[in-house]
This record gives sequence, C-alpha cells and structure tokens, in this order.
Amino acid sequence: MQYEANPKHKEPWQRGRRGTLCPTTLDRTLVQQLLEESEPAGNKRYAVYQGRPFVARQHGKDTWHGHPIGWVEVPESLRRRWLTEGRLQRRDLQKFWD
Amino acid sequence: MTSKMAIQWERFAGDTSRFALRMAFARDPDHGRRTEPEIGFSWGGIQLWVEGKNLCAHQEEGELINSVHWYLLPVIEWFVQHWNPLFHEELLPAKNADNTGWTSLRATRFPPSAIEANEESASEWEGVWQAWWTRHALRAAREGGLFPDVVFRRFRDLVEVSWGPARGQGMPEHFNFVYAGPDSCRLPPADIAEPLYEVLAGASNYLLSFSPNSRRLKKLCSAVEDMNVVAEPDQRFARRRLANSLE
Repeated sequence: MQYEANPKHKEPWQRGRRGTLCPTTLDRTLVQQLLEESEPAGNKRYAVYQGRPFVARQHGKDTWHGHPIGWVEVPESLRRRWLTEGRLQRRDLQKFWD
Repeated sequence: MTSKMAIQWERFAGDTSRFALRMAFARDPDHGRRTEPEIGFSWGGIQLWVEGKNLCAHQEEGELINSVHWYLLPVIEWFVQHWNPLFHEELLPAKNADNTGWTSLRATRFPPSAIEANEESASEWEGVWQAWWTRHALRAAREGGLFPDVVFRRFRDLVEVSWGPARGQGMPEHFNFVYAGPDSCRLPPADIAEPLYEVLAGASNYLLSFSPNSRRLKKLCSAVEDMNVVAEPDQRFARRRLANSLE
C-alpha cells in the first residue's frame, strides 16, 4: 500500500476547493506508517493517531489517500475494539466525535 | 457572493421559503486526481434551503460562500439509498431525548453509564445509534467534505429537518456555517420530496452522460427511476405514492 496525498485535504487553504484538512504535523513517513497499521472495514481503512481517527480511501491500484474524520464515522465495532485494546480512550471519543 | 466556479450543469428546485435544493457541477480544480473517475466528474456545489435559510452558506476566511463545494456523487447516492428512512422513519435510535432529531441524536450519542458498564448492551446501543445516524444525517455522506450537520426524519405527518453546530474534524477555524443552529422545521413531505427528487434525477442523468458505461452510475440512475415509478400498493415508500397521498 502506498500513500499519495490528496491536494483537497492539504494546506494551503483555497476557498471552495478544500475539504477536511490533515494536520500539518503529520509528515509523509508518519502517514505511510498509519496506512500500514490501518484496519480495513468495507472499502476503506481506518487508523488512529493520538486519539484522532483517520480514514484512507483507495484511488489507484495500490495507492491510497487519507483525511481526518470524526469517531462518529468509524464503524462501531472497530471503535469498541480499539477502546478495549486501549488504542483510544473514552475522552478521545468525546473530543474528536464530529 | 459565490465562489468562482465555471458551472457545467446546474439545477435548482423548490421554494426557498419552504425547502429548496441547488446542485451544480463544475470541473474538478484538481482534475480528478486521487479520486475514482465517477467521483471526479461530480465535483460541484450544493445549497440546501430550509425556511429561507441556506444551510450550506458559510464563511471562509471572512468571505461569504453560498454553496458547499465537494464531490456530490456520494451525497446523491446517500439521498437515493436512504430515501425511505429519510421520509418515513420517525423513531429515534435510543430514545426521544429532546424535541428534534438533531438534538436527540446529540444527547444520546454515548450510552448512559448504566449501559456503558455492560459491554454487550453498550455495543448494541452504539450500533443502533450509528445505523440510524447513517440513514438520517447528511454528514454520513460527506466523504471528506465540509458539510453542515443536518438530520432528516419523519415526524408524524410531516418531515423534520433539524440541524446544529458541530465542528467536524479537519474543519479549519476560519470556516463557519452561517446558520449553525440548533434549529429545525417540519414540512409536508411533498414540499421536500418533489424538489429533492427533481434535482437528484437530473444530477444522476448528467453524471451518467459523462460515463455511460459506469456500473455505479447505471445502478444509481436505475434506483432513481424506481423511485419515480408509481408504487404497487405494498410499496408504500415510493415517491409518487407519497406525493399523491398528500394531494
């Protein structure tokens, strides 16, 4: 799996041309690592980093891009398992819900 | 003021003082990079009007933008896929914790502590809640876009549209919806179903014209056509019967 950034989720902001923005603190190496550690659910892959959820979508043969999402968008079964495994805390759910 | 976007197709239907929808397609500013082709063709803007308020109007860096701009195919598919629950499902997932769909969902998004203590019960609560949210909340279709948090549901003989302030992850500080709410309105189903259907049908056919061999778009157009067929007596959720029943 290879990560390729989607310009629509990257700084700089361009009016009417951007969606949810990835944190600037996530560099390419870290994002690639997140992708490799991510878990599939349906046709997407989910990852958590410092309590925040991210989703990856495939756009090429083995290429993926990703962006931040709220916990509300993460499948309940995955969310609960990660809670049980200690990969996220209940306060993370509240802080990054939407 | 509107964002500068060369419009290739647009449709506006409804009455802004009740319910209206505008969709417009334009060339993807990133030329479809990092997207599937059908998605790339669906770049555009959407406005959702409820009782004179454009719920998609927002400020970006201090400038008023009237439309949310994003890939619209997932939004169209969401409306079509969940047409029946949007117009016919009233009961909330956990309990009626407040007066509207949005405020009730908000109040019940986490299980009460008595339920949370039991793993199985908590999982069931959250699963049912999320399934309901997926069927009724527009943001379930946002796919990385910045959409207002709007919930549709049946309310007795009416359809309720409710919305509220919820800053999504990745939403920059300088991006704010003008009508954040919380607020709601309830309208006769036909006031919403008719304009919504008109725009969805037009938009789906437009996208198929770009990619006539796309299985995904053929499936979408077929589903939209089915919505337009006069229903058999037991298919009580079809649009035409819904509209007829209100006349």
